[in-house]
Amino acid sequence: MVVEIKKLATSVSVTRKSTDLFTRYVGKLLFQKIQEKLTHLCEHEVVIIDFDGIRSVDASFVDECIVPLLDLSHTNAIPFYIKLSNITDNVEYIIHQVIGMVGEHKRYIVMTDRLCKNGCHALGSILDVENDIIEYCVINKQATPEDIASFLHIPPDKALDMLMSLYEIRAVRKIHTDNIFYSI
Amino acid sequence: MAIIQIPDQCKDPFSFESVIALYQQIITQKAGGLDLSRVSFIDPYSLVCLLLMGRNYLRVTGDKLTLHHLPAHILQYAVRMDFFKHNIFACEQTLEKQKQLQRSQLSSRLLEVIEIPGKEKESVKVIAKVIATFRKRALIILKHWFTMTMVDYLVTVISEICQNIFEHSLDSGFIAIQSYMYLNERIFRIAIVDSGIGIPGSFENMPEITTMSNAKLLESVLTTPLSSKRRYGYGLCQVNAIMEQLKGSIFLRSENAYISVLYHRRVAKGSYIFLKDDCPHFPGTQFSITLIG
Repeated sequence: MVVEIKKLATSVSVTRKSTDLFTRYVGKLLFQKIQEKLTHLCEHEVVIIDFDGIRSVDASFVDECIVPLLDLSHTNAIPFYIKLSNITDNVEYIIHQVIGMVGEHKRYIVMTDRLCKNGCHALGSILDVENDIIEYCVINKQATPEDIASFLHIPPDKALDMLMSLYEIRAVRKIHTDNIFYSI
Repeated sequence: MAIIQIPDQCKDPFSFESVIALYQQIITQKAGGLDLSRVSFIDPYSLVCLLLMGRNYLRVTGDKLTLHHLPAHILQYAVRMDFFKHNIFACEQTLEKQKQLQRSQLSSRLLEVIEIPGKEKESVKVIAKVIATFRKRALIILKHWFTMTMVDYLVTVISEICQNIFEHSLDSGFIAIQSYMYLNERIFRIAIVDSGIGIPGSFENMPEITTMSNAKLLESVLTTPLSSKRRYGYGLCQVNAIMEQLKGSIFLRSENAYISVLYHRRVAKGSYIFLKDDCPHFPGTQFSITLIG
């Protein structure tokens, strides 16, 4: 599913002609609109949030729109994944800062369609070793714990734990009960 | 009722402290007016802070403060910035139409003083208008700094600070933006001010915070995700991080303290953050965001 955020923003009076998404007010409204679109989700579907036409966002918007969306992807009965596309440097920077900062108990990672300034296709609080795993999955499209174990020179059970933890925060996809993990 | 002489200290947030030092006298002694004859230059921060002084005076006394002896160029500038449109000051002088500064596109190196309302919905509309106007004029305002990425970051800064007005100050505020030359330096300045409860006031119910000095608290809100309303507050941290990237400077004043962060002067081992407590009391929160170069 592709959610064109610019199109959604045109239905909100204050952002109708704007290339910027700002304030908690706009964030809440757009989150509701995205949520309405998610009612017909398929299991393990990747929801692409397309930022084409959006130049900048602010932390309040991210806190009210992107963070709850990531929360929902972690807890929803039907598992789904979020991927951001066509983001500007500003959007990348603000989202990375905000979701990298949120909560000591809660951790967020969001996938993007580009190699970001942190050297990864994902934003948020990412450990170096997780960065390597995510990039391995992006390049090879899929990975097993054995692949990761041999790539990182770690035991397969540790590799499985790491992949599972990335799956729980929806940074990699796991479709079947087998231990194959896919890139988002 | 005495007329108080305003010193020629309206050039930047630091020099304007001398004018703020007169604030209590202006309010408590119910000054008869302000004499601006010595003022040779006034920057956007000083202009909007002066507006706050006038508004506070109006609220306390019910009367408008009168401005006397404005030098012609200061009057021209104030009119151009829509300073008098807010109906806060009385002025003994008028400016003939032919002497008013033109409002052509090429002279739009500024954003006139705009009031940011204290209520969310109205405020969001005004912030949208401010951002749209800033984007439209950005090429001229940011002539020497212009890149699309620079504009994007400054839009984020404007929106973050303006939102704090309706979210935390319990009052309305003002914004003004301008780029100009001063003493052979190119300066771009965003001034966003309010006269609400101030940052120490908004953290009043958080005992772990209230033990800090006010200047330390200002430093904390810039460097850690503190919020008086939520678990975390990212806004001012983002502003600080962005200004670090852009090598600009931040002047943040609230109540009786200020912090000044000068990223453009940051050199190895050198100090670039300055805190000051025990400044003259001035209600609310005042921001100046500056690029120099």
